[in-house]
Amino acid sequence: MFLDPLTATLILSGVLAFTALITWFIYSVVKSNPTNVSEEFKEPYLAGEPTSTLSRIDAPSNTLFWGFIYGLSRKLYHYLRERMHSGILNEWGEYMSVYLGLLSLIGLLFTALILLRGG
Amino acid sequence: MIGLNSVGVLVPSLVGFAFILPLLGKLIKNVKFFHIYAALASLWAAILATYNAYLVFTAGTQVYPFGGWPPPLGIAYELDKLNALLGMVTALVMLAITIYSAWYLKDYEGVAYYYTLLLGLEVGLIGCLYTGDAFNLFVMLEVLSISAYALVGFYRSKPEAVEAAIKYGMFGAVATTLYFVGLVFIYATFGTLNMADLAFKLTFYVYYPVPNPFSGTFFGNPYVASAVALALALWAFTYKSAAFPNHFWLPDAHPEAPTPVSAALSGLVVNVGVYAIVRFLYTIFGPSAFVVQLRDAVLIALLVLGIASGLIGALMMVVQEDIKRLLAYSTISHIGLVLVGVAIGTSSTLNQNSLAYVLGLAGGIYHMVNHTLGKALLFLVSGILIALAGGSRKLDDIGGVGRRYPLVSLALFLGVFQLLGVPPFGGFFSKLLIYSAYMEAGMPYVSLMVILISAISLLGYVKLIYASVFKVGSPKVEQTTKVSLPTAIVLALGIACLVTGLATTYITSMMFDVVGSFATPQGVYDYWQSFFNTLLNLASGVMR
Repeated sequence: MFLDPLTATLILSGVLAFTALITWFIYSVVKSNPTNVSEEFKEPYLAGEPTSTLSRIDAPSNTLFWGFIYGLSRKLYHYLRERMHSGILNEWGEYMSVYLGLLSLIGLLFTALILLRGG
Repeated sequence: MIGLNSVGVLVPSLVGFAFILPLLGKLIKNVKFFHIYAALASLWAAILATYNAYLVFTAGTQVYPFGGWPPPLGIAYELDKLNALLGMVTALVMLAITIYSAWYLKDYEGVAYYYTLLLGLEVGLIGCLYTGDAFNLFVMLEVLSISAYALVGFYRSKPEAVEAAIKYGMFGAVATTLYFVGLVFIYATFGTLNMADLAFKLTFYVYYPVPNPFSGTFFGNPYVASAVALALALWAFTYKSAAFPNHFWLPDAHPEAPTPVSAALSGLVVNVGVYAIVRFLYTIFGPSAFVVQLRDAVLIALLVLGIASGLIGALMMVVQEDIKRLLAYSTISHIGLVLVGVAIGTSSTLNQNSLAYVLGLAGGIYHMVNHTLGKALLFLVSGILIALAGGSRKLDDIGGVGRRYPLVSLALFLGVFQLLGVPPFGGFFSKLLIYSAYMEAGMPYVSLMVILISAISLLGYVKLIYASVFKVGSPKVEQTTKVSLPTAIVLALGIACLVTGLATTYITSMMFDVVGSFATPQGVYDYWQSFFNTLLNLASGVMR
């Protein structure tokens, strides 16, 4: 059982619009307004950081995502990034050969099956 | 006698347009000439491909035997609704990419070389789609691949670009060679490489076994030949389509290429691999072929690979810092979804639930078209953002520059919505079809995977939008950069994305027609019929 495309579109569009409205409302309530930052706030700490760093009011996007994603699934990403997508040809070749082996095995099993049946 | 027609003239004329360019490059120094020349050549291809699609959808399958040689002796192009539709989409997107290139390479002098390769790439793309001959497919894959390798290494002073091109080329050569070895087995056993002829022989082999010079030996055994050919061809085609685990070349190659080329590679080149898989598993080794158990096993393997590609592409998207690399991983994820759709056609699904069979295939093809439009759009938008941000591909450096260019940002949103599958964009309906197909087939866990892949990739797309539009602290914009031409192109593609969704009733029905033309007994019968009619016409011409 599945919805017809038109009904599905209407329902999902409505849900999305509603969610967007709620999200926008929450954002507008909690957002920090850059124009409200006082001159004192913009003053640098006396700890060696450059002024440009301190005056940034956003988090770098990679920090944002690493904090959330990498923290949750460090092992998975370690494998995906350091082992699988290492950029080393030998390691690529290993994965690709295993796949070729799998396809060959399917072919071999099929042929053996047919030959056993007297094909 | 069969005269020259639009099906036969398209690829040879594009070859002519491409090969004359190096000579013109020596004679003419005005760069604008080459921009206009390439745009006109692409326009010509787009008009012919659109006309060919119109011809096929109104008058049925078209066959063009080159040189008047009767197939299977000669090479023939055979267009059914599947390759006619994909050919049209390819030519239209290539037109947009070629016009965009005029902006992208405005300060570059060696444009004759670039356009030779770009038109060569288009020759390869359309040749692979149009051909009705498995050996000619190999030749056209080489044409396509050689252009693609050279285009990836176009910035030859950049070590990363040269490295990516070499890696892509090395494994690409292995892939096409393996496919060639598969063809040797097919030709030795069945005595033909014409796709329609092969489909016919594979269907009736059990009733009318064709003797071959190697009959009685392991090499001439039709089961062995089919098993070897399918295993090797599938490996090669999954390499071209960048499906896991043959996807490694893509995240290196696509970002290093010039941005219009990245759009062509990610939006169009990968489609050729999927198209070849579909043609092999549904028309040639179709559900009526005598190796149906082998075909089923291969389709199940393809389903697993599709899910793995979707998940790995989506997971890797999330942690990218390079805008083009993020989009490259998104391509792997979407190709995975397309493969999930087209892997539905096992004999049990076909016999028990033909609705699921049609829904899955229609969803897969529909998603391929949606992805082409959305991905070409996003790569072209990324080119504009990178230029405005002073040439850096890093998401942090782009720093919300899109906010100053609302039309570019609008196009970005349209592309993301298309790929994410937000209603009413086409991407939503194609994912819905794939989802529904597996629900209908009694495999809800695959449907859940489709949702999971989309959900994970959402994080990547949010990151893209945040960095491009909402991030505060945008870099100093190059005031001299004029972006009106590329903005018009990306907006046109954005509107196309919206139309694929708004016209979904019409497009879904068209996709069912397309599936009927290559994956149903009647469709395959029409494919043979057109081949035999051509053969008879040519033979009767010779007799007279």
